[in-house]
Amino acid sequence: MPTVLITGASRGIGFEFARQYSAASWVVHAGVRDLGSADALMALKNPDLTVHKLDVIRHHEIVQVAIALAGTPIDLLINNAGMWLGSEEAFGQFSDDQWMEQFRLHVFATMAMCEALVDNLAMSEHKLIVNISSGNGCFGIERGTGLFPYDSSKAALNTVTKGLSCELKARGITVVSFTPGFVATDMSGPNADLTPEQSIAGMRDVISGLDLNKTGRFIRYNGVELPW
Amino acid sequence: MTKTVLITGANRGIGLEFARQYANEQWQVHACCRQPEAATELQQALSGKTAHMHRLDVTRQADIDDLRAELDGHAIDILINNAGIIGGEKQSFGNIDYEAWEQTMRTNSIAPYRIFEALQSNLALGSEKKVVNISSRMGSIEEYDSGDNFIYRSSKTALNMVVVNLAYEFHKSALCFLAFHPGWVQTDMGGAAATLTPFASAAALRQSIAKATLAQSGSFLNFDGTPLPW
Repeated sequence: MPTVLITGASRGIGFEFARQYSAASWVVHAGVRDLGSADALMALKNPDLTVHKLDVIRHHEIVQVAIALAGTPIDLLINNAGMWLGSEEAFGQFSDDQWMEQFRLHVFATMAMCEALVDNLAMSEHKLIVNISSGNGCFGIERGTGLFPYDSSKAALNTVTKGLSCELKARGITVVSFTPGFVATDMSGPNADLTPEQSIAGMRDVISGLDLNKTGRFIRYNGVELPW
Repeated sequence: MTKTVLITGANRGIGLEFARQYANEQWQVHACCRQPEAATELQQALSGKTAHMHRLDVTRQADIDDLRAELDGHAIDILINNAGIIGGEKQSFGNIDYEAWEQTMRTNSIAPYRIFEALQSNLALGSEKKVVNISSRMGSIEEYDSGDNFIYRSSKTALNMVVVNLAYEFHKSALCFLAFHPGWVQTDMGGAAATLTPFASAAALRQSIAKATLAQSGSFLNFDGTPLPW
């Protein structure tokens, strides 16, 4: 069966990916910032699920995971770990450090994961990198109040997706950005209009049809392509 | 009435040329750079003009706060966020300098926001109400067709998103925010093979800035004023 590595897998979208790929009998490597928050993952009772201590803004933890997985093909890398501060990100409300934290998590960590695991992806059958971006990172849609750190870091993540898609094409690796929709998670709060089950089922369906012809795209959970 | 422009990174390249040209056209110029005392070309360009030099490392909030205090109550018609860095040599896949990436985000993406934040009341007093951000078409995701310069490119994409967000936020205040590609310019950053002189770039940019209307706020434009893809 194929192998997936998911960051930020203890809850929300990341957990739901781990749950659904477990149900589909994939080999799952679940990265979590805090090993104490892995109870739900363990309760999935997937014998092919491994939990890794992985705070993606700590480079040495990425290196540790890469060492643990050396020689293991990874068919699908899902760079999912993310955050937002909501109304604290409105104009005049946030510090430089809060902004930089989002660049580190959404942009730098995604690149670092890809740098560390590119050989595992290249030796796999499917060779897919999925970066969980956001409609907030899209220039081409109507916007409400700007969430400056979140929006700018997701736009910059999309630049990384596009650059990686060019860089890794020669190695047969497909790279895309997804917007998962407005999913009900701890991060989004109660006003969301999609369940994690719906969003992730949609993304898995799209992922199953990805190949190099679609590399470098920005795709909604339901397969509809977005402009940058 | 005399108009006023504030320019960051005014000691060389496009910033220096902006300062020279606006000063020659009798604008009041606030020229900011890290080391005014060492900026001999800028000093010469502004000699005898209505101009002020300010010490400003755009990544230092203390410098920004000082600037805000110095300019308290003074109108600024146009703010030109020009200071930028290229992000070092190590910005290809497998060889990324993450510390340089942080510094580049602070300088190219966050600082323009902070400087506007500090000077918003000055801009409200001005008649032009324009905030010009020197971006780059290298920050265009659509045009990105190689795997090079991850650091510089992502910092300019992030800046473009800041410009879009500010445009939405301040539309009702009639403030106009623009992201410009200055062309490929013969500067320390652009190199000698570049196609435009700093003079020609700044001259074209000044024309495009003068022509820009509030309806264009939140746009990404080439130096000649034509729109660029995100």
